[in-house]
Amino acid sequence: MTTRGAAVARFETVYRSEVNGVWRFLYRLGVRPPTTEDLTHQTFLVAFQRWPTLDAARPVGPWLRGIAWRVAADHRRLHQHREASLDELPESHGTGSAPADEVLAARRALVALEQALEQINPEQRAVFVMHELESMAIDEIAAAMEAPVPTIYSRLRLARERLSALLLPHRVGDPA
Amino acid sequence: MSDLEPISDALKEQLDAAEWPAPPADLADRLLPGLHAAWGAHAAASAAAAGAAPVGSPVSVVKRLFGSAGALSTAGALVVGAAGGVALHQEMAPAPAPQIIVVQVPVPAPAPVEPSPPVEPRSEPVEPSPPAPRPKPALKAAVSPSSMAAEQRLLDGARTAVLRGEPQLALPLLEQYRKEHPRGALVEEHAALEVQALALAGRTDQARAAAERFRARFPGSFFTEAVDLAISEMKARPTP
Repeated sequence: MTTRGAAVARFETVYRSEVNGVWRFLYRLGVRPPTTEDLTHQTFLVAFQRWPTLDAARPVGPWLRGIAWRVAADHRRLHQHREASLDELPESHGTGSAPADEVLAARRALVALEQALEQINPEQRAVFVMHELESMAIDEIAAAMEAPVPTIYSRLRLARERLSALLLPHRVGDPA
Repeated sequence: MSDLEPISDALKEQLDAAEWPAPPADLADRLLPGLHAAWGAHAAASAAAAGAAPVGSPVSVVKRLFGSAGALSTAGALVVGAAGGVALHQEMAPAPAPQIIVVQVPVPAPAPVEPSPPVEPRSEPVEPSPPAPRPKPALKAAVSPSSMAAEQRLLDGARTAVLRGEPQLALPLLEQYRKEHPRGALVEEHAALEVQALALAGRTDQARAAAERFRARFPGSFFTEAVDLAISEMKARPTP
């Protein structure tokens, strides 16, 4: 085993642990299939090239999400059009044998959330997703986005306010 | 530091009600061949550009990857390697100058790793194929987000240390995980990382024993290949 091969093998462990999480994160940022898969691929290309600069005291998951966010931001700049309408959301794989009404309610809730997220500033959306959906700490988000901590707090507050205004008049499970 | 109020119950309820789509079950395996080619090409080109840099240590890997200038195309997707850094995106700041990072993790001295107690296989985030349909509520009940985050943080640290070839930092974190999360959701990954860390540390007998336990407890695991590789790599490497 060469050192080069060992480096790839070790990084593969990270890849296998994180690849699904990175896909989910990109999806939550608004990246829709099949682009979700392309940008997941790109994230791990970038990550391999950058991992020697990763401070061992810094966890890998938030670091990867910072890279994924930048990859998604670049993609968004180059492709401003929406890639799939909300009517084309893929079927969820996690509902198993849940009753049809529960599936429908979860799907409606997701569509409502997605519609609201589409209407807020991309940076605010990213902070909201990282903190509320990915459980990242504020300082981790600041490091990932290379932004001051107060800026992250501000973006999160604004995102919460905007989403509350957009979502809360419509209760979970209510028909649109 | 700003104070941040908790998210409102109503908004939290809305977030919890939405069920996000899962990635394709074969995502990891489907992307891996292309990534292997790109990673290998990048590492090879970096090594070639670094010339006669010594091999075998994480520090040398850092120097080989970042001690050179020049352009490299990986899988036709990216152009990297400008002036000792990595400029991958217009918006991405240049990577720091090549340096050996001083690790500041406050961890106790490395302790011997005892055999793991029997634990249940993890269910997230990686699933053996084909994945059986699993109702989401059951998963929520089994693993709280805060517990999962705590587990993830410990293993993130250990994984980074293993990645950097620093088992002396990984092993205490893995031991802490074992004590704090004996029935955690990520025990499978913990067990795989333990094999890798022990192998890296040159603790060959313990690494082999841990690998045996891993194979017995997690047959067909996603991480089996990585575990096998760690053992074979250990055989090829002289004991420190």
